[in-house]
Parts: sequence; structure tokens; C-alpha cells
Amino acid sequence: GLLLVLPGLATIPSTSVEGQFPLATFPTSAGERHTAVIVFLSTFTVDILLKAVGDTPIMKTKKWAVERTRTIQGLIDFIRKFLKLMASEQLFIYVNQSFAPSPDQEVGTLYECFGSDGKLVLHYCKSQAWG
Amino acid sequence: MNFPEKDLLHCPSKDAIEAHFMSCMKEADALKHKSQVINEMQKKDHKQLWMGLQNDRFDQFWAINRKLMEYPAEESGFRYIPFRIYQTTTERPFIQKLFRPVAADGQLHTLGDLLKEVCPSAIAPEGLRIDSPALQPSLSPPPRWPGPFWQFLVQLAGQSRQETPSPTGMNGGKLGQGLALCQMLGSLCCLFKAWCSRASTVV
Repeated sequence: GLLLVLPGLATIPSTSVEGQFPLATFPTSAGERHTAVIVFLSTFTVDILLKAVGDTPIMKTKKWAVERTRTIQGLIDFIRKFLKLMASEQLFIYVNQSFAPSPDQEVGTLYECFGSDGKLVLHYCKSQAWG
Repeated sequence: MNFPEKDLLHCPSKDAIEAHFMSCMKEADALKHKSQVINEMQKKDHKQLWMGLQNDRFDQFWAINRKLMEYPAEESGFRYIPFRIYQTTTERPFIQKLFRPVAADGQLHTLGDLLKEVCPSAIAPEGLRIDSPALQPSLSPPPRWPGPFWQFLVQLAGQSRQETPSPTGMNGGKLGQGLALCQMLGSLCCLFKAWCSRASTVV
């Protein structure tokens, strides 16, 4: 894939994104270009804010741009890897500090239903936090 | 041993299935009542929902689920209708969107309205097959469905005509809602039981 999980917008390789624009319409100033990149990204990624619960290790980067078609299971796998969890350790994700979304749900779908203020807030935990 | 981890969710225990069931109930209530009803319930009420389902005890289940089906008298329905549409014609997981039970003009939305908006390809007669005996005959009843998402499991087959309900069925009359709810709950139990028994054999 072009982009998997991106830490914020800062690390996006500019060439791969610029390459998506036809030359004739490519924005010239840095400001325009930045706006164009954000608009372009928001069509296939959503902003996700990850918050640790209890004694689960925190992630230094909290806000992530995640592609809409990634599943919750895919996100869980990413966080597990990021936190270097052992195979025996579990990881749970919660929406609204209330329910665990289905592992086969796409983050884009979840964002459309439960996102607010332009982002989706998810809590993650090594044990079941909310039954 | 050779569990297809990539294709099937591997449930480590029966508790995992119960937890998944409760999560779906909670997600549905987040859409219906901003989680207010399910959060006001006690732990034993949640347990009763699960036990009622597991033991095929409709009364036990419905005594609690009834509260999840209520809405203020001054409103004409839930905030949003919880639903999921699974398609066999695509690899994408499922369709789920915010959908209000009432249209802007005050008319109650029908199942047909929902499909037209979120999955127009389903309206073609040969494309529609609903995996719930209660729902097959008509697109006209308003979509006021009980509890969890699975109770409205729409399968968009889009293959051969043999798989679709009879043409008269598509245009058939309205169903008694009580009957529809019972049958949907019944099919949910079957689905869930099949799932539980399969899970216990692979664990």
C-alpha cells in the first residue's frame, strides 16, 4: 500500500503524495501544497487519537492518520507491534469508553458513526477495561 | 492447529463470544440512545441478555431487551437505526452508516429507503436476498429492529435468480411487526448457536 499507518502528517514522504497531482494543477506555494496534501489525505485517511488506559504503556505519538479501509484488527496488530507486546498479551480497543468495536470493522466506518471534532478517539488497554 | 487466522476470528473462549455479543449490544445502544439505556442497566441485566440468548429463552432475553427498544414518546424512533449490511459480492467487511428512522418530512423510513441510500445496488430485484425469513417478503415495513446488528443481516447475493425470494415475495404485504421481531430473534439465536458450537470445537 501507499500509506499504512502514519504518525501525524509530518512524516509523509512528499514525493509520493505530490506524484498524485497532475502537473498542470499542482499547487506552487508551500502553503497551498500543504493544504492540498491534507485534503488529499483526508479522502482516504481519518485522524485517530489513541489513549492508553490503566497501566498499558502510552504511545508517544497519540494522533495518527489511518487509512479508512484498515480494519480494527489491523489497527490492533499495529499497536501490538508498536508497543512490542508479547504474543501472550492481549490488547483491547474501546470507543466512547464503552464498547469494543468488531475486529472486522473498518476505521472509516467507525469514524463516520462515532467520530467527533474531526477525529475518532479510541482507548486501548491490555485487559478488558469496559465489559 | 491449522486455524485460518486470516479468514476467521479465533475466539479463545466462550467468554470472548459473550464479550463480543455485549459489545455489539452496547454499540447498537450508542446509536439508539447515546448508550444511556445500556449504561443504566446493572451487570445482572447484561448477564440476563446473554443467558436468554444462549439458552434460547426468549422471555428472559426480551424482559431486558424491551428496555433497549424503547424511546421517548415525543420522538418517533431511535436516534439512529443500528444496522450492518454484509455483501457477498465484495471483500469489504460491511456497510454501516448513521441512518435516522424518520425522514425530513416526518415519514417513517422503510427498509427500502435504507437500502436505496446506503446500498443502491441492492434494490435491483435480482440483487436482494435478506437472510432473515421475517424480512424477505417486503421492503415496506419501517426499519425498527431490535437490539444487536445481526438481527438485520442482509446478504446481497447478486448471483442467480434461484437464490432470490419469489417475485411475489418482493412485493408482498406488510408483516406483523411482533412476528417479524420474534422471527428475527429466532434467526439470531440460530446464528449465534452455530457460531458458539463451531467456536467450541476449534478452541
